[in-house]
Amino acid sequence: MTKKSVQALGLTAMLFAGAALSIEPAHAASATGDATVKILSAITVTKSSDLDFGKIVPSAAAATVAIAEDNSRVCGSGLSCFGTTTAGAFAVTGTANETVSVAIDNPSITLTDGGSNSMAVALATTTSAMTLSGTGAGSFKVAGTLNVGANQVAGSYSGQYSVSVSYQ
Amino acid sequence: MRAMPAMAAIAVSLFPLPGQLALADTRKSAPIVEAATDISFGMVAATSSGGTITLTPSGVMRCSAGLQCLGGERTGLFYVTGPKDYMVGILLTPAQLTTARGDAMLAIPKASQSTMVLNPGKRKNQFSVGGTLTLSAAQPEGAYIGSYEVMVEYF
Repeated sequence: MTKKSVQALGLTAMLFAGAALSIEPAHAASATGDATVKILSAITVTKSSDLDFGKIVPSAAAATVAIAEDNSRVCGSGLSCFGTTTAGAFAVTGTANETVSVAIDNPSITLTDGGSNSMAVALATTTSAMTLSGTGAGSFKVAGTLNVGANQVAGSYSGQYSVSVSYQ
Repeated sequence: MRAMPAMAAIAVSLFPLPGQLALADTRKSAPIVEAATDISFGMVAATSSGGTITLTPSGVMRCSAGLQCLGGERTGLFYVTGPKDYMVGILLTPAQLTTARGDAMLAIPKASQSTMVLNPGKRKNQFSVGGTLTLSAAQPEGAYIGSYEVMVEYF
């Protein structure tokens, strides 16, 4: 074989090599998928009024005072009740037209006078779920029943409760 | 000397390598991938602090602390159809999910497997896709949607 023809074969081999490389690419088939999520805005709950049992004069027998969601009061037998009463009220904001559930976290609480005297309160709400308005607003109220002891010690009693609102 | 490269080129076209024949066969029955089901992360209540939502390819939803996952999630489903015993690699691109108002969040899809050996037959090879969403602090509410690309690579 002459020198010239050897060079020619070398060139040919290089071209073959190039061809061999070019036929081994990765091929790919593709498709498109969608991903969706609906995000609801965080719920806010703001107290708009405290539950207030007003003023009570106790008696020698234990009795109860109930405040309804419409702020009305039922004064137990033997007690004298006066002063303004209000039901607890809360304002809710969230995503428009979504349904939320409402719960009182601690439906049984104790009011104290800051010392050793206390009274028990049972809390309730008739709103267990509601649909937020077109602007994402809602509200609910909390009623309570106060257990006044026999000859309950005079004083200003207070306590706290919390509520939870969540999307359903 | 000048004529030699031209001669060499002719030689290539006259005597194709076996590899080129294999490529021709491949093209006849190249694997295809079809989208069957979209991913849905369902409904999620945002928080002021943001967080992440993970939907595993097997369909388990996890919301980070504070976020409220409200259900309705569903994994994506794809089918690969191709020649028997073909091995393919599965690649997914991230997706930007947006609302009509222009709010956006990032979704990183994740497939149930990164490679697959094909069984013969139409729609016999399926894989599912989950993903991770990242919500910013106080992510605006809305219906978010976006597309991601699925690539099935083969040789």
